Parts: sequence; structure tokens; C-alpha cells
Amino acid sequence: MLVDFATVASRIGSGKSLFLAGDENLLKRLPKGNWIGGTIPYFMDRKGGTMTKDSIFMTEAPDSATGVEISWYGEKELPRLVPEAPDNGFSLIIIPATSPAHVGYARNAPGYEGIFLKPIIGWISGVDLNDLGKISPKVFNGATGESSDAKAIAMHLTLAPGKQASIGIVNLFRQGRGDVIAFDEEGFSVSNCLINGKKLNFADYLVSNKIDTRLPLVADYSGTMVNVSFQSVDEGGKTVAFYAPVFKGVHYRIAEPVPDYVKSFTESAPDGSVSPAFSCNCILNYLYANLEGKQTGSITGPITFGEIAYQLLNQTLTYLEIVDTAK
Amino acid sequence: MIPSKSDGRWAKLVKGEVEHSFKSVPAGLMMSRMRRETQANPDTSTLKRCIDEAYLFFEKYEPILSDDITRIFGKEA
Repeated sequence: MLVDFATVASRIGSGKSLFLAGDENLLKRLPKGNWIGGTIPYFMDRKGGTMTKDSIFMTEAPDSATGVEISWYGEKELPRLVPEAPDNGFSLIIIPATSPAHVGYARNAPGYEGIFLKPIIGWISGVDLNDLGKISPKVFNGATGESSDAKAIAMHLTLAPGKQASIGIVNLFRQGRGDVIAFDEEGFSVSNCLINGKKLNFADYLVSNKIDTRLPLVADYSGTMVNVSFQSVDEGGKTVAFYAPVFKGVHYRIAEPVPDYVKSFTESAPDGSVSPAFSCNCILNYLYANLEGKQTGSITGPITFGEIAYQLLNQTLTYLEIVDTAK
Repeated sequence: MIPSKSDGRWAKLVKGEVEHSFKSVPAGLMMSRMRRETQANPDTSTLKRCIDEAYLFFEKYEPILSDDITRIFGKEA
């Protein structure tokens, strides 16, 4: 929930383990303790979408967490994330947008050995959209007071026996019925693509077909719909940039339009029986669906520059719940 | 209980020969990656590595994968 600085400082002082999101000027003044944080001024709070630099979104680690470790990961150290994650628990990772760690994680995380055996949730930190290019997104290690605009910060939480972490997503987008789009190149930007198997320049394809690039590319990962959102289309340079990488061998389609985001979201969000231990939603959903001041069900959290459910996602609400598996 | 690793359905599953939309997010992401891996490298060591990892995943998360397990392997699983 969104709370004031004093409330967060008090909870830190009580020894609680916290996941924090807020403006850099607030996070950097917090006392040391068991917390990690990332910069962002956009939130989905109980009253609806909110932009503020005066409050911090505070999520307390679940009571079933019995052990906590905080670690930095530079781009080259990210493959250590999975081996260092607890066997029974989860890891929450925050990565500064556009940092080497962001790019490295987005490209390589799906291939980390054993990544799907250990729940990893998280988000990409950002800034006020008016400050893009002026202020760098950052992450904080509350244990030491250090911050970084280059490295990822992770909190590894061990859970008590009989509890498991389960990660879910709410993605309103489905594959449309249009062309099958594939890529021979991987990464955050491409020149060419394969449209139904035929090689074309992707920028030309998008322009000539008047594609609404607020709709993401959607791939069906065996039932899990994974979006790749468009960042820009450079007609002159003949390139297309994305907010997450595209991968070889994956078949994408442009998403079907969502006529009423708030209504669809409310219908798709987990019912009241789900009580997320953490959740976040995407800045593009906030912008394209004009969510400021609007409620989208009961799930709250930071509005982020990218969501992580094992791998980097776009335009997707991501949440983690603690499940009782005791028989 | 999930079937043993020697059960032929594991190989079909990781090769993407079983039509199934997973309810579980990590299961869907993992199986999609394994299908691409086994198609790109159709050798026995890749297949064995994928089956080992898939088996470990289903064994570890059996309590929260019961719907997917029942639909893939049947009620006897």
C-alpha cells in the first residue's frame, strides 16, 4: 500500500522485510534494514492509479518467510541468481530500466539453468516519464544503503515447510487472427521479420498495414501469453525497437484489441480468494488505458517499466501468492 | 503421483507433441522453451536434460500443478 515516509521508516525499524517502490529522493533517505527498493512514481493503489513522489509503495514480506538474503547482481553475475535462490521460497528482483543488467536479464534469463524450478518475480524500475533521459532509474539495497543504476538487486526469501510460492499473471492480450510473425534476429530491436514465412522489413510491414503499435506482439508459450511491446518504429532507419527482446523460433501475432481495459481487467483479475504477496503492473497499461484515478480490482502495486515472472514480460500484471501445500 | 521419467509421455511433452495449454505460468514458459530446444537440438542428451528438468519441476510443484498433471497424465497420475 502507499504510505508516508515515516510509516516505512517505522516498519524498517521494527525489523520487517520490505519490498519498496518510490521516488529516489525518498528511498535514499530511508534507514538501513531488511529492504530492497526501486524507483518509480506510478502506482496502482486501493483508490486507483496514482502518480506521486510523496509516498512509498510498501509491501511486507510474507510472515511465512523464515530467511532473507539480499544480493547485488551485475550483468555478468546474473546467472548466479538461480543457484543462489532458496530451494523452497522465492526471489524478488528489481532491475534499473535500460541498465546492462536489464538488457542481460531480458535476453538470457529464459535460458538460465533451472530457472523455472525457483520462483522469481520482480520489476524494472523507472522514473517520471517527464524525466526520461534526465534521471536514471535506480535500485536500492536497504541493508547497506547503496543504490545502483546498473546492477540488479534481489531479495531471496526462504519459506517455511508446507508453503510454496506461486507466480501468476493477468494478461488481457490474446493473439489476434492476423499474420504469423517470426524473427531470425534476437534482441530489443530488429530490421527484418518473417511474415507467414516470407522475409520482409518489419518497419515497412507495420507502416503499410497500419498496425496499432499500442497493441503488443503476443506469443503463446504453451498457454501462457507473453507480450513484447513496441517502443518505436523508425521508418527511415527501417528498424523496430521493443521493450523486451524477441526470440528466434517463437511465433508472434499482433494482439487483438482490448475494447474496455478496466472492465476486462476487473473480469480477468484473480478473484478475492487470491491474496497476492506481491504484484505489479505495466506503465504501458497505465498509459494506454488511462488508468490514473481508475480502479482495476483489488490488486495493487507499483506500475513498472517491465514485469518479471521468471523472464521479462511487457504489458502484463504479475503477482505472487503463497500457497499452503501442507497435507 | 507423476509417472516415472521412463514413461514415454515425458518425451512427448518436452518435444511439444502433447497439445496442452498450461494453467501454470512457469510450466508454460518452461515447456515452450523445451520444445524449441529439442527441435533445435534433436539429440538424446538434450531430450534427457529436458525430461530431467521437467520431471524435477512437476515433482517439486505437484501440489500446485494438480490440474495440469491430471489433464496431461490422467487421473491415475
